[in-house]
Amino acid sequence: MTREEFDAAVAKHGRRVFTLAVYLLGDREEAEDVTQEVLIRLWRRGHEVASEKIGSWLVRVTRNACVDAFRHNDSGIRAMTDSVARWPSDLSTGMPGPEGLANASQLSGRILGALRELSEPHRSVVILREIEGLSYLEIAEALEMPLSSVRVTLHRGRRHLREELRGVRDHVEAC
Amino acid sequence: MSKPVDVTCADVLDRFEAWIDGELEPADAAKLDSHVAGCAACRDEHRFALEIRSQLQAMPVFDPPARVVNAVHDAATPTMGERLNEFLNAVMRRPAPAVAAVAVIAVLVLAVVPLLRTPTTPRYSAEEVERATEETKLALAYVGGIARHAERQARQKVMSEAAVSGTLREISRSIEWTGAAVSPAPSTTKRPKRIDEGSS
Repeated sequence: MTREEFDAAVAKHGRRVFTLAVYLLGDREEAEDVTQEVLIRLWRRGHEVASEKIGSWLVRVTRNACVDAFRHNDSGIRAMTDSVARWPSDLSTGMPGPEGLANASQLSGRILGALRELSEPHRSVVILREIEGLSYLEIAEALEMPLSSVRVTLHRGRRHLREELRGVRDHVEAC
Repeated sequence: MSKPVDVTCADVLDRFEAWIDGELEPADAAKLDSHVAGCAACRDEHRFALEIRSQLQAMPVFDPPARVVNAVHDAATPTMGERLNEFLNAVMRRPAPAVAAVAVIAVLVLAVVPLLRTPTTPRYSAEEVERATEETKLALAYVGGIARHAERQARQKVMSEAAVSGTLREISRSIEWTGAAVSPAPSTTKRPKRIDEGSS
């Protein structure tokens, strides 16, 4: 892989890699470390990957690196109730109205917490589909899953999120 | 509006995600549409599911910070010292080809450089060229001598190792013979019987 090809790949896919790491790990510093490791691996092994497969390869490597980071830290699933401050600060952008903003921020924080409670591969699939906007086919290629499995995994992931958040929703509406 | 009898709330929940993604067959989707329109609980669930999806899809995406990209570029660029180190390691791993390559390059330079000069303005005299050629031959002979010496040393080393192992075999055999002489085994060889001659 030439330097120009590498820089083009970083420019094109760097955002996807970092975003996935942020939402999988829930920690910006760890996400930066994982992103750096993944992109260096791209430089060293990118010549082994077909250019049209670089995107899916990077998603796969990023997810694996995040799973390894979880195992290494042995922290299990972190509670998100008090960790919203550790997330990037622009989570509240785009929320409507001051009251809605307060409730939406609380709900979005709970959504992130519930997202971290999801098991794999449900969490990865929900992040890739709902937040990063990948198609079913792109997710299937990246995670090496059949297309039908991607659909089923996404549906189950969203159902678990709904069930987890149902209590939060009732609390918000009661306030 | 009454709920259709053939679609229950459990049916709706089972196919809920596929329904809101628009992945159901039109006939099935129509049944769920009809049920949800007439069921407050399912309608509420539908609204909540759409709100969660909306929140997820509004979550921000992030560009990697500059320090990460810079660190990646630094890691991707070998330093001059690393390049020199890699070259020297390659030469040290295979010195003979490197020496031979240097000798060949030296010969080519000495042979080609005089030819590039214009004949009308010779820089070196014929005697100087002849002397340079002789010196080049001597250099090549010297390099060849080094290679032959290295080969002889390697051969001698192999032979001496074979001699040592041969000596060890001899010693081992003599130990066996010595043991046999101390306690000779009884002879098991039978003598042939004589045939009587002329016995009646």
